[in-house]
Amino acid sequence: MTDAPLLEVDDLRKRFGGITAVDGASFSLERGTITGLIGPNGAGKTTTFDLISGFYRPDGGTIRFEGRDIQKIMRPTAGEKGIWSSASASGFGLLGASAGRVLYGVSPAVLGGAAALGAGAGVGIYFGQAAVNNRRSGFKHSRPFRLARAGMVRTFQITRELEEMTVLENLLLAPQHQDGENLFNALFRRGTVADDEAAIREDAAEVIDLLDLDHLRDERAGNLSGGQRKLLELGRVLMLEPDLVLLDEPVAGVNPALTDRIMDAIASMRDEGYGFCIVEHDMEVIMNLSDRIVVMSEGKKLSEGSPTDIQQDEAVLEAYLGG
Amino acid sequence: MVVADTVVSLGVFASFYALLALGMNIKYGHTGLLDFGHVGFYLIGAYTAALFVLPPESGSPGTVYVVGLNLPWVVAAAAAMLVAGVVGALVALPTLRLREDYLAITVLGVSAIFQRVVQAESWLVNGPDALRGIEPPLTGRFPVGGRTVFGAIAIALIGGAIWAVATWALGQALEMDGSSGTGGTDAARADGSGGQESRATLAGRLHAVATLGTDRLLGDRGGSGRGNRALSAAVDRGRNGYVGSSLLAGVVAGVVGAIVTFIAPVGLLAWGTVVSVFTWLVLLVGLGRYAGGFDAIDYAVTLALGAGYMLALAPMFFLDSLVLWVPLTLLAFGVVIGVTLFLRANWSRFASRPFRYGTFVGLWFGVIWYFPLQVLSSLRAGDAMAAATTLFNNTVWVLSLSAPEPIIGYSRFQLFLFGAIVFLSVYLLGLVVDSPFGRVLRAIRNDERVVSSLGKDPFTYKIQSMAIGSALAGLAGALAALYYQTLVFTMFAPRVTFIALLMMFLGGVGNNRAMVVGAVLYWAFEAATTELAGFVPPDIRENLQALRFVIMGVLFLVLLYYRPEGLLGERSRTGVGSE
Repeated sequence: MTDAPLLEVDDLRKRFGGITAVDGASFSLERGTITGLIGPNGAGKTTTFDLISGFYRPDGGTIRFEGRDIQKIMRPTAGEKGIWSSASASGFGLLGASAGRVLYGVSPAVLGGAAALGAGAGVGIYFGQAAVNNRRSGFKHSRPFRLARAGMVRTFQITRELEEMTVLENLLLAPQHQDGENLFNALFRRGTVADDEAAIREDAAEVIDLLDLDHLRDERAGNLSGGQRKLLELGRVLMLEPDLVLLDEPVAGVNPALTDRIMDAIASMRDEGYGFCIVEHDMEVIMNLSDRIVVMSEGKKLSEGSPTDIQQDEAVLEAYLGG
Repeated sequence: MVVADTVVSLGVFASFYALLALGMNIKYGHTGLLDFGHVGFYLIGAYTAALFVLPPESGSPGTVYVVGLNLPWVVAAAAAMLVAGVVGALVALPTLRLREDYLAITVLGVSAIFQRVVQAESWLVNGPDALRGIEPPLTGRFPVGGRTVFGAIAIALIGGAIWAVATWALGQALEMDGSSGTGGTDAARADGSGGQESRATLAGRLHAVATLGTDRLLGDRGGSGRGNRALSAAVDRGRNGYVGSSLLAGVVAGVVGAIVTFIAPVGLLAWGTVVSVFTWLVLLVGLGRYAGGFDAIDYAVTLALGAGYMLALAPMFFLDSLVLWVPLTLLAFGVVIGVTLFLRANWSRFASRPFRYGTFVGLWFGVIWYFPLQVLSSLRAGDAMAAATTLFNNTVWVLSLSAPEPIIGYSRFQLFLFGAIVFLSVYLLGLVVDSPFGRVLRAIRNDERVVSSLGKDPFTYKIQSMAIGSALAGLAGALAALYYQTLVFTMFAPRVTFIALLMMFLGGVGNNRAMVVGAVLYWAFEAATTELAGFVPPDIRENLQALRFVIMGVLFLVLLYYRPEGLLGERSRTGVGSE
């Protein structure tokens, strides 16, 4: 993608029942910059994140990542459609055959015909339900992994660790296109997998070093403190080498020393060309870190500008202090 | 009946149930998919395998089935795995979209449908009547004795495999020891003293003998040629060195065994004795390592406790009156359990290693049952010869000595066959679980959303997990068909799923090797209680069956309370769950 912005959000809308969480927000992010997304509680920041990262489907508006509509990125591939429709066909074919058997008795012609009819119905039902699901608003996606593959990763406001796995394993999980994640390779191409794994382990060692997690390498993630978990999430993101990172409150509940370390890590990643979008309540952090700030209030974009502009913006002050 | 035969048939049961539990472990233990319909895939595997081996036309008029392909068992087992795996994936496609508890219920329903279809469709696999006539492979060839070509080949295979596995196991035990033993500096090793420690022990010598020199052969490739160096090099190279020399030693032992049994009339007996004694020695070494730091007092106390539990059963043997022995036995049990708990709470030796103590108490109990108890009646009758024969029989477990000449009967061959399949499955699953693929599975078990946010599609992994787990259940079904030779739909009740779950929790969720332990323990309990039921008058034996489930349930509850990670712990690799 040439000069399209890294992320472009246009007139984004999302309602939950009677509550309008996001109401026409528009903004865009550039490569190699940190954009802070701030606003009072309930302004719709986290929902915006969920929409951008594909965990929710917007009711209106578009989100473009590197110029491509994320809904298109998440769409099932032809192969997946094939698998699903053939599975549906065989399932309903079997049902058809059973129905033929119950109604007309055993005869190859009847069973075959009923099975074929059932299979046809199965394909129809698959595409029908896909069409219905695509139209239905609020349909929850289960395919955000496609966005991560395309280069956009998020962290969670309440950290999500793989608690029973060690810090190292948490990091090793992240890289894309690992040879050993294919069952066939895991069994029959063990040499290749071992080489791949060794390279990933080296990367992980670097990340562990960068985040000062050495002493916790083999600790179960479930035993880490809140701040260490935030670091680990950041480390996982680093292992992915994405283009855009969405951080949901990366320093909430983290002690000042750790906060500084996380901020340093983010700043140095930015300098390497990563794009960041950060939701954070700690004003000092967000003002120091961000290149641009987008202020949201009641689901709308209230203001946008450099940190110094935002600090003097009347509307923003009003939104935070009164209003 | 010689008790070694009982143990062999127990092993056969345990092996195909271990496969069933392994399948469950892949689904639940590694991926977190609770499949209450596991038995459905076991059913599919069993009937698929049956239809693959049955002849096109059934001999008896009462038996009807849709098609008989008359193919060899290897093909049948592979087809059973394939079909069960594909069906598993198909069932998973719609159901995996559901939340975990709904998934469990839906799959339970699917398995019930499978069972009903088998029951209702009489043209398919003989409906509610049993499907008979499933011929296991090579039945006509067994039993084998010495001095036949087929016997020699069978013995080469069986003996070689047992030898290789036992040698490898011994190597593993040494390695556990060696990791601390060979921690010496390179300088120390260079002058040949590094391997001295492990070599100097009895176990080390045994290993050197067992490998039949092959470790030197393999270890010497780049080295100076001194034996000490070779062994320490093998230890350094860890697993792989042991695998190589074990396999080679197995081949040598197999060939030697084949030649010996083919040439000499007593060859088979001699060969069987050597192999059996070797396996016992390996077992002893393994237990010795496991005991780690037990001294005479520890052994004596655990022996006393084990004997105490056995003695508590004594009233059963000696008193005929039910009203007399039931309260006496219960009282005796109460006393021994009380003593055990008291020691556990108040005696530092026991309290510091409760699990190891418990294991050894159980082991002693088993040993007492296996050896002295079996010769009790002969000794009382004053027949020392019979007692000695029984002892010998039980020691030389590889051979069946009930016939005039020593033979390898079909059940022992079956144990070997099934055992090999289980061993291979555990090994391959180990590779899968330790690979990045297995890592994704475990991550899914932890938190699916994270996996998704890291660019991996949890759904495809869950499907694969369901397919592998179901394929293993299908394989278990194929072996079950081979073992039972007759299939009835009642064999595939939901109960079977829960037995597999029980084995999984007993051994340790997520630990593949533990599935084998769980299966063996379950069937040991079954066998023991069946034997005990023999002492009860027939009219109340049925109640005892129910009581058995109650006892099992209580023991299971106790386990979940005090050792929720299972006997072997979650994953042996990380050492979680050890003391």
